[in-house]
Amino acid sequence: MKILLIHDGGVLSPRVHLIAVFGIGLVGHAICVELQRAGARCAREVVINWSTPLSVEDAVYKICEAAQSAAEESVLPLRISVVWAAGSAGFQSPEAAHALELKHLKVVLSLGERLANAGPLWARRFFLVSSAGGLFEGQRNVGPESTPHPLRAYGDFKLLQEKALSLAVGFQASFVYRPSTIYGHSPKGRLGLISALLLNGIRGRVSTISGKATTLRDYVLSGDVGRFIAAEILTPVETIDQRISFLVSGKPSSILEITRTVEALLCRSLYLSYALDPQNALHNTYSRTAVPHNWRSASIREGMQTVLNSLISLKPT
Amino acid sequence: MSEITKISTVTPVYSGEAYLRLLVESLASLRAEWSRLEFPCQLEESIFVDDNAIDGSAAVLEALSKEYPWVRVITNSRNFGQHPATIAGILHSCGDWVVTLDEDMQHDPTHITAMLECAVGKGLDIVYARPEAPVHQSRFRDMGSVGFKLMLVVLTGNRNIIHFNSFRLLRGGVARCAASVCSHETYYDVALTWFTNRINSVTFPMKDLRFIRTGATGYSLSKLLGHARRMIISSQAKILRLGALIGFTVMAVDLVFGFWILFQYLVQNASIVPKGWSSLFLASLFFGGLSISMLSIILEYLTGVVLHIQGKPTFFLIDRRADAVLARFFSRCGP
Repeated sequence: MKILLIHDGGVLSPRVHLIAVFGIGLVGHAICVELQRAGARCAREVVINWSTPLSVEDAVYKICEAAQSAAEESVLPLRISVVWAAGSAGFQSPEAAHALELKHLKVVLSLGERLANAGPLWARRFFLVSSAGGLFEGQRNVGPESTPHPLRAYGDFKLLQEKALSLAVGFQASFVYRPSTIYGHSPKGRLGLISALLLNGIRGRVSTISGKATTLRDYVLSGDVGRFIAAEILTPVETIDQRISFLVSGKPSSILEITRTVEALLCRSLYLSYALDPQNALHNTYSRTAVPHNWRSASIREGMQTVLNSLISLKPT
Repeated sequence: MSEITKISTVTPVYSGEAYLRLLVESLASLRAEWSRLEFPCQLEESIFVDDNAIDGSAAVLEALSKEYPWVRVITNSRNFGQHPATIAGILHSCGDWVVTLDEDMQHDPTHITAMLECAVGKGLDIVYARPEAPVHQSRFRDMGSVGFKLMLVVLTGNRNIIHFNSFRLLRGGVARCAASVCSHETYYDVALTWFTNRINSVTFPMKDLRFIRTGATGYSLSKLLGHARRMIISSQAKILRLGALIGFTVMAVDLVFGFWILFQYLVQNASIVPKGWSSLFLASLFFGGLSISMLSIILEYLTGVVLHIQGKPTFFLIDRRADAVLARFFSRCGP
């Protein structure tokens, strides 16, 4: 977990904005990079042991501590943004792993009430990175009016996370982001299909695909997601109940299209192996009508080139 | 997973201002008809690819997409041509089946149901529409079109070329995978034959109203030649093997002829009067034949390399199980 500080008031009336980011994986890292580009400095980095809620409790305590000291610097009431981009439990994880993650989130959500008590005038917002893939698995042309129908525990728990946020007290505004399949490269992030294909292609290794060549997905670059969320964090907004944003490209891509593009980028053939009984072969596509007006996503080719550059230079996207 | 089969339509747009509303309204009535009949099929989306249209098509499409939420418009940065625009549309589709239609109402959307019935009934992956009578009502134009296709069948050895038409019903996975491997020199319909040979056509009445009314056609002679070139480049051209055969035959004839002359000279002491003529002729014939056959072998190698680069797959898996739902429906409803 990272605590970042940024001064966003004027010279005469400085206002400190404290941003706590949980989960420094693909998205969390991209958000931090964008915030730091905007002038935020990392005040503290806390290593969390995700196997116990006690460690998360400790992180929450440290945020309260940091908020108290930041409030002393701030002439105007402090602004606090909490970002939840954590998630060690993946698509295939068992229910227990998701239940533990939900417990962690609830501990972090309790922070709202504590902060409200500590500084009633402080502006408190929560940003939750959910998963469109988990909520709408097997659905096509998903739009703002579509209803989530999770098909596995991962999706059920993502829905429970969103519900837990809507029930949480203490935060004046909450934002839910539903990105589609995220790809990118970060030191601690999970390796998705595209990064794995690129990396295995460079190293001449076999990639095993747990879908079919025809399986359709919607891919978004982690950097685009990070840029969008960071911009929303830095934009002061009025109090709102909960705003849900789909961060999708709106362009379905088959796995064959992805492998062909990777081959074209690397100028070599990939060694592929398709799982006999693919666990992740349902189509999942999104309508462009679902995206916020200010959302911009790179084309798959541009995005892949960015990931390839970062893999070669070992710099995150 | 839902048992409703999803259909996407793709239409490249270049100068269809006068026809687009009519086309979308026809698609809307087909959509309503399917819903009324509780057809296990849904027209999920109609994708229009604005290929830098030269008339007011862009504004018409903009209005139509607001009126009908299932109408989606994508815009090419410049005019790439009908095939690339169709490929762009297919790569943006998500249907289990994809139908490609022209902008000018030459292709009546009501025929889609019959094409689907043919596809699921016969276990096909591609169904082309075939006009039951000449579409242009111009003997020269129609005979030219048929003759052109027959010539390409002979040159490439690809018998499916005779079916090729821009009104096609394609299995979604096949359509998108073929579209993904297409480069600017690949002929899309030839690329489709790399993925499946379950191809057939259904006959419908079709008329090229734009050509009949205005005499305007999107196909000039240079465009047709361009199509032929791309079809040959995308195909394993049969003519190359014919070249090799001619080369080897010339060499064989030359050798037989040479031995015969030698035999005559040694046994019968007979020789052709201009001295050196026979050896010169035989040598040029032999090396000519050798050059033709070697060139054909090199070109054969080159074709293999080009097809590999173009993305001709070694194998391709397909799942046709979902067709059973539609096939059951059609068999219940009867013809």
